[in-house]
Amino acid sequence: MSGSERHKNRVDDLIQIIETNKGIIYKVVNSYCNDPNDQEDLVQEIMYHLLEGYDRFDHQSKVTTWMYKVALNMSISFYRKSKTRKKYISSMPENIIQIKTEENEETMDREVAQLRQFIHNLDELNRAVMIMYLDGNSHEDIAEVLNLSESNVGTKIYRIKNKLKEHFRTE
Amino acid sequence: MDFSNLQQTWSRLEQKLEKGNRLNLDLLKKVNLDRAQNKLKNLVWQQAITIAFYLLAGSYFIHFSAIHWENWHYVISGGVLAGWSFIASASAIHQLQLILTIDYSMPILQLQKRLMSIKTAIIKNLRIAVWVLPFYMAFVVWISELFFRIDFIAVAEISALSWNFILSGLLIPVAWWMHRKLNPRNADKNWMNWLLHGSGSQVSEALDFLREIDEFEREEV
Repeated sequence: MSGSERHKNRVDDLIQIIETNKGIIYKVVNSYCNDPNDQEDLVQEIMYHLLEGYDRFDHQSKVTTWMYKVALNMSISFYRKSKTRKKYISSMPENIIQIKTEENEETMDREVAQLRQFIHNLDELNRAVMIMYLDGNSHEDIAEVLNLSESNVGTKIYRIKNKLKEHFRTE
Repeated sequence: MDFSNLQQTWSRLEQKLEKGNRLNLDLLKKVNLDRAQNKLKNLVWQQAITIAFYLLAGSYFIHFSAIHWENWHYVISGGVLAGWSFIASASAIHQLQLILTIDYSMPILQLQKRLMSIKTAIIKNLRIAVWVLPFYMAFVVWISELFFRIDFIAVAEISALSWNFILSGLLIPVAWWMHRKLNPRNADKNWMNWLLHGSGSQVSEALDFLREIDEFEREEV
């Protein structure tokens, strides 16, 4: 099999994987980025890095774990950059541009909107823990993606859930 | 909200997002992976030029020492400047290695730490720069020979030499003091911001995030 054929097969494999697990990318991007245009850019960047890094993926861990790592790393970096950018343009009046999106807070049911809002209020790292927890990942997988111990992950989830209870009690 | 149904609520968000988003996977097949990642390329070039400059400078100073091997002060001056250039190049090589090995499939805490340490490398470079101060005589000896063909040590009076050596000695605590002042904690100070070419706040933010990551890692039961 020639190099280009092998590459084509790998791309096809990866596209299949992305198609099956695209929800991971959507949820991660949606949790770190509000602006629809930025979301589009971020999804593209993630796709690019998945495609580019697939040759190095050794299949030792789950493919979804690998996707979480790429999507979360890209999104956290993007979020930090945009936070810095916002700092410098915060003097501009808000709502100077209104982008109509299908997926705004009004169209979401109340619980989803509340949960989404809560996740947005967490710091970048705890947000990653929460996204993976809500997606039903095991403590072991979350620990692998973040490079933490499983007990540390357990503590964090416990604390975040307490915060969540507190948050909804006051709502 | 029913807490037992958190994951169900979350999956409702997933369904909504799936409905609202369309991935064009056919277009994805056509992505050219050779496309340049400009931002990274710029950083790589910057580092490569820095490394080349310091390596050339270091080699030149070794050559300078070698052709003046019979004069101990030229050998020492060339040696000191070569040593300083090689330390600076080693630091730049380390930075380049960090940049080239960025892999977004690394565990989050590991990669984010690496990205932040690349951002704060400028402080490390400044620290290396200040340690050349106590060795300013090496520059004087080298420049006198290179541009004026004057052997500074041979022509200078013994008292002038003594004062210069005392001054070099006094500059050691000054360099140490500056090294300590060039602490990442001072990244948001005006003078540091000026030294960092206006990128002080970014360095400061990177350091804040590094601290956050450390706290996040330490937080145990």
